[in-house]
Amino acid sequence: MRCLVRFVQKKGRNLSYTRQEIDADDIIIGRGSAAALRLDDILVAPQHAALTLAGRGQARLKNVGWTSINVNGKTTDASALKSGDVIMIGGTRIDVVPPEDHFDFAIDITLGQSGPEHIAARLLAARLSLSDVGPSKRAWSWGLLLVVTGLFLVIPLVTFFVDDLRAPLRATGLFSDVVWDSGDLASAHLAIGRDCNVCHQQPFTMVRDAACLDCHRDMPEHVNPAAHASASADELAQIHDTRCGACHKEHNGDKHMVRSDQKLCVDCHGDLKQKHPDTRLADVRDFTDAHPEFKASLRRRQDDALSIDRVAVNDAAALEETSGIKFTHAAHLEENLRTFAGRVTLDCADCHTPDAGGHAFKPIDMETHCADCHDLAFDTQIPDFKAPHGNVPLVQQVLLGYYSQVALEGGYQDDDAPAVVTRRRRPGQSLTPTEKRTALEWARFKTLDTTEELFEFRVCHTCHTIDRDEQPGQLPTYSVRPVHIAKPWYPKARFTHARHTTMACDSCHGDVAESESSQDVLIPGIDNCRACHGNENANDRLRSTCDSCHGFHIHPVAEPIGGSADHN
Amino acid sequence: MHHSFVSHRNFHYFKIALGLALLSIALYVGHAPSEPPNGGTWLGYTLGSLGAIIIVLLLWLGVRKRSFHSRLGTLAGWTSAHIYLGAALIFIGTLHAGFQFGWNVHTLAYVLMILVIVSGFYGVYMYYAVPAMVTENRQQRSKRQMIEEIAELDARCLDIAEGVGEDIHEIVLKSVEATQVGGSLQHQLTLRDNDAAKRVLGEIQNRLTQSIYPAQSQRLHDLLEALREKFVLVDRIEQDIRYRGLMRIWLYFHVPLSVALLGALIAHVFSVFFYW
Repeated sequence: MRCLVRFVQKKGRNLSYTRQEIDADDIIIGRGSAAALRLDDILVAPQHAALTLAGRGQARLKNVGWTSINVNGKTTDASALKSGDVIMIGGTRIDVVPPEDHFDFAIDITLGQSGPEHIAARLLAARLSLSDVGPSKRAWSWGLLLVVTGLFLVIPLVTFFVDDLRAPLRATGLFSDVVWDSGDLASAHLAIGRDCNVCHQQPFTMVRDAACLDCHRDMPEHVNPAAHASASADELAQIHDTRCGACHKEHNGDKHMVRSDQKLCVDCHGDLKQKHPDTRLADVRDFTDAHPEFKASLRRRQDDALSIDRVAVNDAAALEETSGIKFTHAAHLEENLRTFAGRVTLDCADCHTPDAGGHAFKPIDMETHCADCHDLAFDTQIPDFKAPHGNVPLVQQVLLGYYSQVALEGGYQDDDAPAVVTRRRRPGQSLTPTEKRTALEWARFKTLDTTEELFEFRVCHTCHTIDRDEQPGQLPTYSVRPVHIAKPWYPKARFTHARHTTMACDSCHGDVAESESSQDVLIPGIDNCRACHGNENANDRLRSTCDSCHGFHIHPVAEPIGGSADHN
Repeated sequence: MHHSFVSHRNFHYFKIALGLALLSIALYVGHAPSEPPNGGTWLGYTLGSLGAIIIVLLLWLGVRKRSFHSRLGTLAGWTSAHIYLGAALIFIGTLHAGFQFGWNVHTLAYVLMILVIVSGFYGVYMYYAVPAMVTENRQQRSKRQMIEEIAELDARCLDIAEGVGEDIHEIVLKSVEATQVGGSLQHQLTLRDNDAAKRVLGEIQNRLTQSIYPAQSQRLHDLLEALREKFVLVDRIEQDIRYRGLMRIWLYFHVPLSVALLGALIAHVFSVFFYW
């Protein structure tokens, strides 16, 4: 077959061709002497490739030896050729062109760059620096910026502003405003779940008290503003306009939801007297060495009015209980007391039994705690019949009724009684009117006598102070001075016996067994507490803050914080 | 050696950064908030503001580097400030967070900041250690000069080989075609085991050993010398690409992570005040 080869040369803008005709079916292309088509290119092997003609315009190019050929930009070992294909062998370009008449195949050969230029061009075209590989820094930067702002800014904002998407987005966990969560909620608030907007209701606004008060209704204030006339508007505002969130810091877990540090209180209470000379509150700076002595709240009765005196428990002159009862702990704590049940030694718990929460003790009750020994029987002939306790007129009525009955029935053993009273009668035997009058006169006299004995000398008198009032021509009347035992002693503090049950009673109430008077106040003072409790930084004692004993939200004024819940 | 940015103005910015770090630590130790230390206390806001200002300032270096006509300080000064203030951010940022970490945008910003700083430390080491090796390796030639020299050597090898024989010419031609420099990320950062070069050299060496004609032996000897020279140059250019890769690869982390940090920082500050 006939193949036309044209060597193309550029001269300025013009092209010139040198023609070579090869009449063979297999044409070896190479630089060597054995090649039918010789290419003067140092990058071409002596026998580089074989061109096999297969018909008009059809041929196949095959690699010979170890070197490579490149057809249409692809390195290959063999390839079918058609018109328009471009072959590179070394630096030489071969174009397959449509054959002229009388030829079966035609190629144009252009000798390209010299060997070194071609090699250098190939190496320089390689990827020689990082900027030739993969996405640029700018692309990475934009990509990451979009991912970060999308996930952590745009999606959370969509969660806040688009009502319909809020719940589904939060359900995904990651793709919502949960990524803004700065830390664990206090466990009390875990029930809120992932709904940030229960608290964070308005953008760029600190959590408002109204959000807190939605759940925490009727929260008491710290002080009653009405009782602080001398405080400036600023000071009142400082207490009342302070946000809940200023003290209650969320997203810190459980530990710091409630402020209990000393500073919270001492900032104001440290020098309250200086700021407000008329305050009744003493300055407090530190429990260990700058806390006033405890003041007991003692009930005082002046005429008929009951008042409460706050008396420091180290003020021996003023510290006097005026409960109105005659009682000594010393007498009751003697060993082997004589009682109806035999010899008994009492201990504290026989009378002082804890209340339901173990916080304090149940009130002392006559029937429960005293009556076993302090018997209210008034007549030895009927020891089971007792005078009632706690009702003076009823005592006189019960006694009069009782003695009238025995006088009319007769048979009562009393040397001073008239015969109609002592004489036994047969059943159904009636008395004359004179006998009846005599008997009832005795009963009235006996009642008067016994009442006087009960109230003024024996039973009631043992524990109570009795006032006797006598109007001419009438029976004397008695009144028992009211008993009012202080309770609680320290109403301004939270003390619970339940937390102190490992202690023996006398480790705090030490001198009880020696107390000879009900006027003694047997409640320990601050030194007793300081034996075990120190301030919040103590190294040698239990660290205690103001909050260990005192509360902050303590003043249930008419309007709690944020107004009454009923108004909402 | 690029010591200029390390010891710039007698460690001026090192002293400023050290002062800032020590001041942050002292304030943190003396700080006794009523809540756990966190970004929301007065010290937290202070350190956070300081940290954010420094981050924005350091990002500005990216712009400054491209503005050679700026009269606002020297490039060495900016770089020195960038390195030392960046290192101080470890202290300022950590104390701002009060060691509170979680799965949220706030810790994301912190982690990105630490990654940026760590990648920066790598970069500082590379800028400190590698340029001398680059200079040593290049022997005062540019990359283009080295490549052109390789091409010249290749052409010379082919010339000599053609004079030796067609088979040798083909062996050398194959070797020329197979010569590669650079390439993928992995190829740029590691050195190839040049087995092909060893094979070619071994083959020529064999021919030289078997050659009995002095003229042929001389040509084979010259070919061997030229090939060796070429392969040394190929190794040098490969090493050069690797060094330059090592000096720049960290920027592919440092720069995009810095931009991501800017995004996370904006989200962090925005979210804190949006859900105040």
